[in-house]
Amino acid sequence: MTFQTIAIDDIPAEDLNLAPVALDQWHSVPQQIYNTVDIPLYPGQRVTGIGSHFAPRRFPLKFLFQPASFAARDAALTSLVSRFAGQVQITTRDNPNKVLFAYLEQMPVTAPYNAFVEPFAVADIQLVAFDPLWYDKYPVVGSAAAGASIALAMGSAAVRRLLVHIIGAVTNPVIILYDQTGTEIQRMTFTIVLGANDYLSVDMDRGTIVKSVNGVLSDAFATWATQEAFLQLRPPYSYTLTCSGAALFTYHHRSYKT
Amino acid sequence: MSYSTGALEVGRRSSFFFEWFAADGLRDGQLVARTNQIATFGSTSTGSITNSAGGTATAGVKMPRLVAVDLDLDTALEALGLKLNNSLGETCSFPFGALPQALSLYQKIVFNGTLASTPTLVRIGTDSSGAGNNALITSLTSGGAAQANFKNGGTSHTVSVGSGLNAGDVLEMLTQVAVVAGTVTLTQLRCRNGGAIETSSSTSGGTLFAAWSDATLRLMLAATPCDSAYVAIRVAPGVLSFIDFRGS
Repeated sequence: MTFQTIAIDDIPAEDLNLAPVALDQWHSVPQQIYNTVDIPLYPGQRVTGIGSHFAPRRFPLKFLFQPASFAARDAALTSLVSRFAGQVQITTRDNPNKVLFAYLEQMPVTAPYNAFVEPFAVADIQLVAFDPLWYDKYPVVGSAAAGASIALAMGSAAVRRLLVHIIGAVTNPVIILYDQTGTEIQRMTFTIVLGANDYLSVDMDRGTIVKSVNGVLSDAFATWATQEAFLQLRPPYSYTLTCSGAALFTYHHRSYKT
Repeated sequence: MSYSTGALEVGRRSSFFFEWFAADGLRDGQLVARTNQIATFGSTSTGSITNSAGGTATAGVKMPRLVAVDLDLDTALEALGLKLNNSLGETCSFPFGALPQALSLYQKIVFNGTLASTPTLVRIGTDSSGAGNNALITSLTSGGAAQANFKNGGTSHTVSVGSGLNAGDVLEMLTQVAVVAGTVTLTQLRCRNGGAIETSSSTSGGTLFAAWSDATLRLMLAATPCDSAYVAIRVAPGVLSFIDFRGS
């Protein structure tokens, strides 16, 4: 496996016998849109934008084919196109652990020389990432003993897929999110008794709360206090998470504008 | 409801029989394959979790130990793996509905165990010498070889490749089950730390049977602790190569 330039679904371009010769926009910050509301309508509010704060990222990528024969050119182009059957995950050498999710929009193919004298070809791939943010390929894992804090590492855009496990034994745990000044930002309060073999799994992205009682999973949403919200982490702030009565386990994906 | 951020959760139907990645984490407290099989997980003791900063903590009993691991061998713990250790009573299995046929089984682990035993890494079916025992079993030998065992009516057909394995090694194993005119040919491949791919000579696996002795895919069935971290397991129809599995 030779990762020198760019990879599509973790397959390095070099392994597909492709030579990237041009790349654009992969580090650009996409157009940002001021979004007045990103939640359902409340009386008196008016929708001025929905969906993402960001415009899609269009991602031109040019590959040079240098096959030994016309048949090899045909095979290489077929192989390349087959990699784009739906959403693909793009990584580059700049940071192989950051990924962008994109779709093939179009792929004009041209010949730099006489097309049937030299088998060389150039593929101008136009990718579109409707979500233009880069994400951690793998989540960041955090852990802390009861009363200790987990520093939640941040990227340059909102955190995604924050999952928190509250590990028993504990009665009525409260997890508290602090910002970098030590100010409490949010808390989640639960009315539940967790034994030594139990834990509570709180998924901030999916909006679910599940308890595991000696390995038996069940919904525990009703144990959560009303008037509270799932935790949201947004830069430029940095956060710590703590629970005075229970050990915590977390993982989350950071996101990046570039 | 509209969400202001977050990657589009666009489904793409997998062409694989089974696809599971530790990096997908938990869904409602459960390990769920991308092909939607839900794991049965159990443990009897608390185990250790390693976080991305290298610190450790204690996981809850029966809590899947998703730990930070190093996949690119730069000592930073940038990835996620599922640790399983027999001494903690940890078990993990998924339903496996595909019938016996030509298939390829890929697995990627971060090895952190002992080679004094022969840990079974992935097993489809059961493991016995009984006449009805039909299974595909992958394991490590005491010398660190990647080994596949195609149990056909209780008769073992074994093939292995490679040697040597150290704690922290990133091990990829690919087991190819080819079927020609009803006869199985078994080949095992191994790639250690992204290096050269080692390929065994092929061996006969006997006549293809009609059903696995248990329609279950199980992980880490060692008599002694292994404590390695699973990163990915994928099973696809047909005989495929490493490049078909390394992508995500």
